[in-house]
Amino acid sequence: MVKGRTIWNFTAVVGAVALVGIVLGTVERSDAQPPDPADSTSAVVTGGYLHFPKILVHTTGDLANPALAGDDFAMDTVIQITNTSDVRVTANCFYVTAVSRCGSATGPVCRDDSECVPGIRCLPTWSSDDFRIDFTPLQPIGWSAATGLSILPCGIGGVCPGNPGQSGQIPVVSVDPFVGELRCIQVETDDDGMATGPTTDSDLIGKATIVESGPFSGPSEVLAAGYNAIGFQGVSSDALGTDACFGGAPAGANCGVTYTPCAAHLSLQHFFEGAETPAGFVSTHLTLSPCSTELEIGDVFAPSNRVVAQMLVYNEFEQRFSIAEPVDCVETQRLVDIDTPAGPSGDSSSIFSIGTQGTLGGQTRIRGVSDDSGFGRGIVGLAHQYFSASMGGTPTSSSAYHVNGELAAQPDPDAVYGPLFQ
Amino acid sequence: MRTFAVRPAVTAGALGLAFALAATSASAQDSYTVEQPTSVLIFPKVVNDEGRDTVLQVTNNHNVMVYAHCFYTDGQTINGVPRWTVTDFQLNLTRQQTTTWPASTGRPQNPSDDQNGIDPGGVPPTVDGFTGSLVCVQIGSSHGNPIGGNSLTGRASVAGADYNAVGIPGINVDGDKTLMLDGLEYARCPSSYHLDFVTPGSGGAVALGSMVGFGLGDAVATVSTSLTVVPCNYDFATFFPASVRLGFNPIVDEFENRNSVGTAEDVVCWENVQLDNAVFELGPSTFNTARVNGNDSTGAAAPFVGVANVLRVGGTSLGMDSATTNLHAVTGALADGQIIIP
Repeated sequence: MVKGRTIWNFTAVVGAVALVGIVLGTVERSDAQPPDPADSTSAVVTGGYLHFPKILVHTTGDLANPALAGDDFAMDTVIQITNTSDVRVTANCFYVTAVSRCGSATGPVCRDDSECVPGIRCLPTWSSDDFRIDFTPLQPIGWSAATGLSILPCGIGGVCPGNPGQSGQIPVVSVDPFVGELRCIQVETDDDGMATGPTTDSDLIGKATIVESGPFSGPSEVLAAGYNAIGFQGVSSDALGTDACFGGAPAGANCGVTYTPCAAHLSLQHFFEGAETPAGFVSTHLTLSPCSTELEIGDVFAPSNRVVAQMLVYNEFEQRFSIAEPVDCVETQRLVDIDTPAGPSGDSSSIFSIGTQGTLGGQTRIRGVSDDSGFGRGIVGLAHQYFSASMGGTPTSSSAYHVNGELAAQPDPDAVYGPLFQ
Repeated sequence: MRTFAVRPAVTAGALGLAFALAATSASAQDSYTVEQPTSVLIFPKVVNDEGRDTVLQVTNNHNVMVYAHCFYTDGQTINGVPRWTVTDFQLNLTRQQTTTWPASTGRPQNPSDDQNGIDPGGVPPTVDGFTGSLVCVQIGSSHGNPIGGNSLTGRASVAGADYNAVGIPGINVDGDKTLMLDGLEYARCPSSYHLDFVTPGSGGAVALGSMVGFGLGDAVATVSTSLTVVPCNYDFATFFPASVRLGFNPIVDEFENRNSVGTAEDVVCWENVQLDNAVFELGPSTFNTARVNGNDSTGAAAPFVGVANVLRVGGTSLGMDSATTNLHAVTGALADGQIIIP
């Protein structure tokens, strides 16, 4: 009896200690828990939804669009998407064009007001173009964004051992120069390869390399910056749904597939602008793209396509600076242009300048600010660095890397509004 | 038959145990990451040779002081003899602090030097010719034991080609000097990856996009790919180097041709594996994908991490540039590893 009581008491003590320990542990590590394995939104996992936040093309231009000249670099993006499964897979893809145009959505492409007729402003525009890729088992497909693929490798005339037939083509991007992104979503298909609806299958990986050559006036450099597409894994599906949801179902969304969530906030590790590294002086271009979007709406300022990004900038002295920046559709800008006018004017006054911060590196935490619109405020980010031998000189090297993201609970889930699965 | 009345203390105890078990189960996160803060960082590729240098950046993502015990492993081979030497140091990072240093110079503990910012503790320089890896383990205090704070992220810039450090989340860290990467104490490492690559020597659109056709490129522009690999096992106490045997199976091109290379490389400590056309026997394809599988000497799955490096050479009148990317893990292909620290 005494022994039994001792055991019970021991159990009680151990249990109580465990309870207290867990509670304390929970409190102590409330912000330090690793993500759930189901929350695998990452550049190193296979996904049912792929997001390439930065696609660039500028090969020549024409009379209506700015042609390459002077210090311009020609650029193209080599894209590769692979089906990692042993069965056929179909993906619906969407190029999102986010170029600026003079005066209206039909005006000539421009990069700033100086390329428009005097008195006409260079305005941001937005549109999307869709296409379908039919993958054979384990097939990798690659293409240049500037040229596309008129016939997929195992299509008409393609010599493939299994010869399952392969339909579809990959279009050329809608305009040259092109600035935008690519989103691809895996869909359910029938035996004929026709899309029939949503699926949680997550078999795709993607990789993009932005290749540049220049300057136009005397080419001497090749630049290559590669990055993996962000993959989102399917968690649940509804055969009647039309939209892609992330981390839950926002009000008004008809979720065909609910995927793992967008990051609640981003952490960009970067060099400050003008920092001198062994590879040269650094200039960083940051691309931010809202997770939520309405692909059928061509309004760049639509509430669904806009996120206000709040940024906290830390240097190596633990000093903190902050700034807020609206992000419409998908935007790329030099770090120092976030808080100063575009171009070199005012760069030295930027909080992203090494002259202001005084340290080589920094961390910028980025969070989409919630509002009452009902749209999610997740953001995907990509850093694209250029290195040159002198400050502001011709780039000699480039690289791209993902902005880190933490998968804490999002107050508002994100959604891409379709229809996406047909 | 005897009946026991369960006393409140017993109830609390049983609930506590159940909660503890449930919590253990619920937090058994088992995936590596290159985006989220973790308790172990692995930089698979750090070089300081032939004019190339690496800038390393480690960041504390939390609002408390964080400490890390870091280990450089020199994997270079001199006259056919691998060095496999280990140099350790400690990082002390204030809340949200990031710190950077070039591998060639390190970061002296000197507030008056030209490396501005709060010195995180002395970071030693690497030797000339260093080609190896860096591992940082989060610890609870200065010279303390490992903890699962999941506070660290990292980035490396190798001669202008950047990649994110591989992160291993801590789960239920027991605090001893043997870190079990078993899915219980820490997350496991992958034993298999998807590697997308172009056929070695490919040119044209793959090398320079469509620009070849616009006079800005050169027909002899080419692409080549290499894979930098480290085993996901480290013994920093005895310096005994771990190994992993790499196989590539299957290798599939865009025309559905399949191939495989059973044992392409035995990686001991650190290795940069060049994807050689003679070994891979690739056809006229351009785009390929391979599953890169790690095994030990018995044929069992073995964990490893790595990065892919793609070099583009622009031809006679143009320069060259490389891009480094993290590897895609094959879903569910994980293996146990361990890190032993002194």
